Amino acid sequence: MFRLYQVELIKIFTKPRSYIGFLAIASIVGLIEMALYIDGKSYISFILQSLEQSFEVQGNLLNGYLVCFIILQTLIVQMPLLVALVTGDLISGEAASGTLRLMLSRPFSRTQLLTAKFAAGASYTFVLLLCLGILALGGGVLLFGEGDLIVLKSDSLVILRSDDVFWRYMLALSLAFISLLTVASFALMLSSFTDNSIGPIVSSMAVIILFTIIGTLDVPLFDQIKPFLFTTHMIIWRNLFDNPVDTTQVYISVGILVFHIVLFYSVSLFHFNRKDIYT
Amino acid sequence: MSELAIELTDLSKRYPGLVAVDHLNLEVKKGEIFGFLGPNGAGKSTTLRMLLSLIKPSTGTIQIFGKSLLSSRKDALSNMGCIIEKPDFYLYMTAAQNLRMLAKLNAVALPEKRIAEVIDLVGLQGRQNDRVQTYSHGMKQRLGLAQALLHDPQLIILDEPTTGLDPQGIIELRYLLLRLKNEYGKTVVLSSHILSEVELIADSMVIMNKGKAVAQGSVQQLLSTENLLVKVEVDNTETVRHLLKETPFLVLIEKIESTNITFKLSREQIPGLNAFLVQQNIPIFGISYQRPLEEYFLKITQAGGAHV
Repeated sequence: MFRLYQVELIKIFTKPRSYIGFLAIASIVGLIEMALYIDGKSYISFILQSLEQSFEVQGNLLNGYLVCFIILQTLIVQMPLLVALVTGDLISGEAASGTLRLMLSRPFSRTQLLTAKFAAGASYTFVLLLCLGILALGGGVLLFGEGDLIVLKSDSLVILRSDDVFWRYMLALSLAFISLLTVASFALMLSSFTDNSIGPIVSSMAVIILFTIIGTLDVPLFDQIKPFLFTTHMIIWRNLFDNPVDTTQVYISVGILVFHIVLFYSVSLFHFNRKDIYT
Repeated sequence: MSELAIELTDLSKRYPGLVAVDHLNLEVKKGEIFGFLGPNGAGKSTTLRMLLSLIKPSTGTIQIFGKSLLSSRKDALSNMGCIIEKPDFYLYMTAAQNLRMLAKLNAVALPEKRIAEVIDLVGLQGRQNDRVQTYSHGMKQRLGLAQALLHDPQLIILDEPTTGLDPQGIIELRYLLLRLKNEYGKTVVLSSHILSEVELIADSMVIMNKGKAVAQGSVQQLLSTENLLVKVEVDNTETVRHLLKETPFLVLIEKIESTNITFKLSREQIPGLNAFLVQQNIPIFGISYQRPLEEYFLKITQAGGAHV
């Protein structure tokens, strides 16, 4: 089983497409950091102009923690796409290229193969997120230094002391991992149903966009279904930047996301074990 | 221990409105080369896919080396190497990387030495570090064979393995398969739609059409030289027919066309017929023969399948 997992990792990390995600993250993070480095002060004063009428703001506001927060907010849309790009291709891509039958004619069960693919997809997601964390947080702190984090919410302002931020980022990235793992398992499930590699990637994104729109619209009809959509809980990492943190809501969201992961994985397993392979 | 490498009992695969394989019963002995013949859509690939558990049978059982494929899938697959339909690989990897990766997927991981051995065996030495996307179809076919042989399986299943190979490659493959059988005692199942190709190396064969086995047995039996359909090309068939009146050949006439007379003869009778016609000063423009099964096979492959 471990060898199967190793093989799946080799396949992912020798495939040029897998590096699009890393390239995209490096480019976006690099661009944002460069822009803020050059023109960050005017950007910050633009954001804080309404506050400056009521408060006197002092200290290094444009610090690594704020830069990281801005980057995470920006990348929330792109990250699921980058994850789906690889995980949506794990089964359907192999079916399309004919290598699935090569894999299935080896002495492993389909359950083992799917589990290895899921684990490899999760590892890829983790590495992608780790890369984001290092570039955004590490790069941010390196370029802009440390300082208190000011988080502007729609209805409030949260100020977090510099020594109270790091653990929040670590937990936020862990929650982001669970969110992206939900996307990965969803894309993997779609991947087990088709034999073309683009379909699951596009479908995953279409569903995420649709659910996000439903989650954003203030329509009473949608209010009833919002709590059940996994996309509603994918932004739970933001709650870690509240003071105090609403841990109950965090636990509920994590529970719902984990439930979705298990559900998507089980559906994939059920279907994949019964699927006839023709390609 | 079973003497059979493969035993199919009442195997069927049905789809709505289509029976791809229809109650197929088949036995492949250990250590033989077995030919799987039939036109496109005959059910060959579906059967081979069922053998590898890529497709689930609707009914019937599959035994590999005496063990049920259903209950001993891992054991069965450990002992099988295959190329199904066409050899597909991870194109962005080199041949060696592909094989190295597949070597990890056996019950016991294979040493690097084995990869070099199979690369040599299929004649890909010197190209093993090139990406597979740069390979010709023939080279992919060789690499396909290398991956099928990688874990030294007892049963090798090859679906149309000569597709894309040049004539030299086909001859080399033929020798390799014979070597695998004769020197290493391997069982080889070979699917093809070319009868002559299978005839050259197979010990037994089955001909499939519309999902059914229409002929099955040893190649010697099925392609016997008795009852050959001998076609003689002459100027005037009526004259010939008249001359044959006093000979035993008359009753052996099967068909008369404008310039061709077809007889049903054994191979040994052909020189006698030829000598008689020469004695009668009949100009002969050609004598050719076909075995009845060959004729039937040509009919179903050219027509894209026929009902039996």
